[in-house]
Amino acid sequence: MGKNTFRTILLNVVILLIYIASGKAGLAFASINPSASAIWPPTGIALAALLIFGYRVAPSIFLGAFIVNLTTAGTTATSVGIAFGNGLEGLVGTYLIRKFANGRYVFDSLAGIVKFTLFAAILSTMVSATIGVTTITLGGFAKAQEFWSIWLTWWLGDMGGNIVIAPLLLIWSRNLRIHIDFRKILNLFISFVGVIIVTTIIFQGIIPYAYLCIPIAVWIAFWFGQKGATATTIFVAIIAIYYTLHGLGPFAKEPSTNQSLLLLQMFLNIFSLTALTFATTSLTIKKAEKKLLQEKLEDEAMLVSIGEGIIATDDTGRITLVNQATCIMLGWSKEELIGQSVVDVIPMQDEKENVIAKESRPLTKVLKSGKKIATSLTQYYVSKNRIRFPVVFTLTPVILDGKVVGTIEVFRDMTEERAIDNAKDEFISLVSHELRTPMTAIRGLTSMILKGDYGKFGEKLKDPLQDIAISTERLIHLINDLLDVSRMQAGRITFSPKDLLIGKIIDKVVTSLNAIAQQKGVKIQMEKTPEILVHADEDKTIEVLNNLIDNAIKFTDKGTVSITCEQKGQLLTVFIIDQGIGIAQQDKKRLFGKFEQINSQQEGRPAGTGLGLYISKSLAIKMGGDVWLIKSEKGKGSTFAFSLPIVDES
Amino acid sequence: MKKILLVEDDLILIKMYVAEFRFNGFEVKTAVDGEEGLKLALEEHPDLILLDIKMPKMDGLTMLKNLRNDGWGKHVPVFMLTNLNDSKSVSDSMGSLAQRYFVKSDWDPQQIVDEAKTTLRIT
Repeated sequence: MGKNTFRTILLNVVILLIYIASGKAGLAFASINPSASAIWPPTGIALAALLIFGYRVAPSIFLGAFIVNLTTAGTTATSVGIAFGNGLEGLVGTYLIRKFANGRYVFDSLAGIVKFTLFAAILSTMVSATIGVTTITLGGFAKAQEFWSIWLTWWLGDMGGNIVIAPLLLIWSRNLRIHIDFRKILNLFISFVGVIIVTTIIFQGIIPYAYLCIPIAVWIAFWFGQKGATATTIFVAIIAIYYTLHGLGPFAKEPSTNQSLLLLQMFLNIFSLTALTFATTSLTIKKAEKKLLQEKLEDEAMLVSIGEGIIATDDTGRITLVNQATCIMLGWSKEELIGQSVVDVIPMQDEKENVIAKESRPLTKVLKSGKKIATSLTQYYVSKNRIRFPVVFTLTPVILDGKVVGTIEVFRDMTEERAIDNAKDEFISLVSHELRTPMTAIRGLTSMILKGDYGKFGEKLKDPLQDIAISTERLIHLINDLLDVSRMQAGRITFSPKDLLIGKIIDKVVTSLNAIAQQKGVKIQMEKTPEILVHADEDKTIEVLNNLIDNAIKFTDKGTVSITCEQKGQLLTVFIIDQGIGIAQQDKKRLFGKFEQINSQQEGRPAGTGLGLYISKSLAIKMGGDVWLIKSEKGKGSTFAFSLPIVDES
Repeated sequence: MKKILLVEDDLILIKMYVAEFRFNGFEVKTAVDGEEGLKLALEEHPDLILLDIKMPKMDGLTMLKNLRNDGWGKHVPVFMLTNLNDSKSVSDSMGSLAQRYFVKSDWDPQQIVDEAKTTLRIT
């Protein structure tokens, strides 16, 4: 036999014994019919067992009910019928609670209590009452005219079992430990004594108003939660039943014991549900408070760890929240900032140290317009000890029901970044100056010697001197291109876009390159360019066109270099078509890479720096366009394209 | 004979430009820093000033600003010679204080002489 099987059998045996004991005790209260009692704990025990341990304990319920009834009243047949009803009641209640009410955790929410009352207390108990009373009526153990009165007793008795017993077992079975703060022990003792005293006074008939117990239920529920509420219900039930059976208390005055117990049962149901509801509400509120606190702590931890400054304001621009980084950057403590107006406590200046007026502050604009502002222009904040530092920030409105109720600002001290940018600029300047100065002398003096400024020189020196001049030229171009790339990568290239007539720019470049083209016997052919305005930096546009057309001339031995334009949507594209040597398929991928030279010195062509197309493409993209290869075939020529945004006439 | 004032701290470049301008019939005065250059400019009243930017004691931009505060200095044509960054970023920061901006390494001395002749209307 497996371990699990053994456990299941053991479990069933234990539950069977408890069922039988509680069933015999319950039927001791039966008065209207030996098989129908107003006090029936086994229903609650069965439901709790099925919810906690699962359907595997169902056999113990069926068998327990059978044994209890067989040993009390009725025949085997009626006992089987009643057992079937009792078992089915448990199964139906369990199924409904599991499917619709979170199973054994049904009391974790107020909605769960309502569903438990409906499915377990009201509906499933009808199954047992109907089957049970029908069985004993058909078996001759009850008169037909007594059907409904017996049914009502059976039903209410089972309902009581579910409402009073099941919650106790389900809640206490989750964790048997009780967390008692020692400070609360006095409270617990007083409450416990209070419950006994008050219940006794009420049910002895001294002050026979049963619903005076309700305040006790609320008190216990508030202080001791669900466990306290369910335990108190049991105490009250025991005391109340005892005195009611002895003819004392608010419910003992009824004509029959059965009626007294039924009224008491209904009272106990109300008491139990009230206590449970209060306890669950209290639990829900505490959970929500804990969750809020946790979220608050998480938010605070996040705010502390963020390096950027965060300032939250209300709709008047007063500070409601700041993080640690803000306090560090500004030199103010949290207490000094909260409640202050941002524009008063954090002065803002422009580059020239002019204070920016309140009306012009981004915060004022955001509060007014409800639109987010993100600035990349550097402004300055002034700290508590009058130190100004550059900042960039994003200011976002907080909008509720269409109204601006506050703002959130995230800002960053740009001092270090500025220093890095300045260092980059200085480096580029230094390199630029120190490399170019000696090159200036080499180039200049070589050209002067070749010109004859220093007199005649031997014929043998002419070629070497010309080679020096060409090499110098290359080196200067390389330095210029490297500096361009450095500036591009450092984001230090400035663009001054304006509206340009593209035709004029192309004319200018073609004119400057015509001499070189003619020397090679290459004809530059220009299609009449449309009178279109593009929005671009003039010098950079010239640089890109110069590079592309110069390349076309360089790689064409004879034939034509054609230049055409086409407008498509918001872009104007210039096509440079040559009839030169073309580009091999495997080289096309490398075309726009850095230091990539294709078809150069190996084919007797002047070597470039390998950066021209990379720079041209980068510049074009920065201006909102692009440079790309349309097509090329080895030996047949290439077509390059250069696009720029057209001026938006609107 | 037109007079040129060359303000440049690199001795080799001084020799080169002086030679080229003299070959082309100019009288050339030289200074090695902005302070000396400003003094010489106000004394000699050259027809054209070639002004380097990066120099000790007083840089070219400061010298030019001071020069433009003078009654005569306000009008004298000035060519800025630089190897810093690119001429556009220099000219952008200078506004219209100088007539021309040249990246020295991109221009042969003869080309600068030709530009000077154009500015001074010499054929």
